[in-house]
Amino acid sequence: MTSTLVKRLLAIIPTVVVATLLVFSLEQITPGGAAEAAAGPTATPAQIAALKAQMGLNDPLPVQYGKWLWNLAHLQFGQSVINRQDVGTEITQRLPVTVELTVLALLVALVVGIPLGILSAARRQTRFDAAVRGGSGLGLAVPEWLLAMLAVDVFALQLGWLPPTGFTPLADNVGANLQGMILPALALGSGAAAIVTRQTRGAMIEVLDSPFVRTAWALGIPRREIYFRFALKNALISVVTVVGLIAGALLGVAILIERVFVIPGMGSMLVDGVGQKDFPVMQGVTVVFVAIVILINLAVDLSYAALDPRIRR
Amino acid sequence: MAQVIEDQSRPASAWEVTAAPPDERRGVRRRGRIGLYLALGFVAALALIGALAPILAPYDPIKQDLGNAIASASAQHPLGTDEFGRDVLSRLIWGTRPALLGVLVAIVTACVIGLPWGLIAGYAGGTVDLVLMRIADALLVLPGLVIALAITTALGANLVNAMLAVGIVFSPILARVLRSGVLTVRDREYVVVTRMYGLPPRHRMLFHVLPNAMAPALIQITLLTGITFLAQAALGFLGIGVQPPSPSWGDSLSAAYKFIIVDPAAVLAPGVVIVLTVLAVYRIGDAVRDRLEIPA
Repeated sequence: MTSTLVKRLLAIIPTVVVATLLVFSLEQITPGGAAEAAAGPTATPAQIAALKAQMGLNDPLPVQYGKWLWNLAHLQFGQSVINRQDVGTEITQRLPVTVELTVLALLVALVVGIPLGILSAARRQTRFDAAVRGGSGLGLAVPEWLLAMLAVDVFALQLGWLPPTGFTPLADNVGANLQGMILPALALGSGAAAIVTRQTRGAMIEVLDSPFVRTAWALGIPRREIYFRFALKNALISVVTVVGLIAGALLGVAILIERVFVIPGMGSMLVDGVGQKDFPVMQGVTVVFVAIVILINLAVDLSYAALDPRIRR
Repeated sequence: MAQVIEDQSRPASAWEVTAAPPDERRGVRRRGRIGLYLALGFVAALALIGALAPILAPYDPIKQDLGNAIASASAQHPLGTDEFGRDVLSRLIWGTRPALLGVLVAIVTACVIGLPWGLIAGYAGGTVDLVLMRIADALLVLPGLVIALAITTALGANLVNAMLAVGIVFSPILARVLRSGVLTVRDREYVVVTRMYGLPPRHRMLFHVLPNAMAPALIQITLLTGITFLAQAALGFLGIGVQPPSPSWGDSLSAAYKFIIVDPAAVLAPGVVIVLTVLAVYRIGDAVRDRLEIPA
């Protein structure tokens, strides 16, 4: 277990280097450079030169990269060039919102996907199975953000069950916050639920068809025990894999969902930063997203080792 | 969420998710070819509509008619008008052009970067392979949409740059797939023979290794095409792709969504166009996969 951990931690290094180099170098390739973007279209060359010196853009590139990394390591993301707000402070306000949305969506995916997958595998080749497969196919094909708009239309505007958009901070009113998060979480979790359903079904069927389960049937072990103790336990390993992949993907799609429901999370911050060429905002948000995805992947790899003794070498 | 994956054991990027289990794939194969012909017809029709947009569109897509804004469907405007009184149908018809162009830009970018990447890694082997694939793996771990947005910041927010960014994000996927293809053919007899003939390595790579290693990469390209349509619509919805007032599907969608309380049905038309296009491209991708798939 320790060697797995060390190996996995070492494997993170190239990812971190590539990601930070990429995010850092984007500032270099932008036409006119970051200083010009920060100074705005009306700035004189002298103003740009002064800003360049102030932003430390005259240092050699490796020095700039080193300083930038040093600041990142201390969670210093710099100031937004548009509104002079501290990027780190804004991230600490917005990150919990995005994390809440993503976690709720993941819950939706698991709560819907795993039971449907089990039932579908247990009733293979029935109408129920066909319906689940058709439904999950649709869930994969229809992008979450389109579904989100339809959900607003149907559940908020036509039926009036839930608020169409708007966001209440969790700290202000837990009930109102959750009420506002239902539609976003359902929409964001829809594609993931389809994937979890398919993965659970496929993995269950594979295990159910394996010789040891056939032996278990022959021994007269009760149905419930075969499904849950033998099949599900083995099937869950591959489900954990997809959950890791999904969690990272959901974080990306959350950007779109936040836009649809006007939720003030990391996604809307990133989109605004991109539109305004606000490099500190873009870099800060991207680095935080990347860090989270790396940590999720690490957690997934370690949980395999915990779930499947064969992986521990 | 779409489906692509080449190696299930590896973490994939944001828009990648696992492929359907094999038993479902076979089900798709057995189903009739009608779906495929419909899909091909739909994509051909889109190309035609894009080409003939000036003739087909009933109105100028960017001409405003503020007195007649957010109108519902009528005989004059079959899909209604948007917030500036522009004809939605005309904007969707003209939007076909950036949709197809954008996908082309992204796929060509992904190929131009990803194919040499995979070919060289697979062919050279050793340290070159190790370094190139480490970089690919690192990029694949990163969330795709976030990275695409980051790259778009640097290049400037417009259609071509946004789709270049999408292409860059997809390139390591192609590199990985092509590399695995190259590894399987690199040491086959017909490649070894060209070495005996003293053909230059470049010739061997381009004319003997590449054509025989391309099948999995081609399958991947068709899958990526479908995802690219979605990515493009998503970026357009975020206002990062085609810049206003030019028409695009994503922009039509976000414009309609802004007034969903006034006219809830307006989001349907652009939404349906986007979903149908993606489904059609996926269906064609399935057919390509069936045709090229090397039996295991």
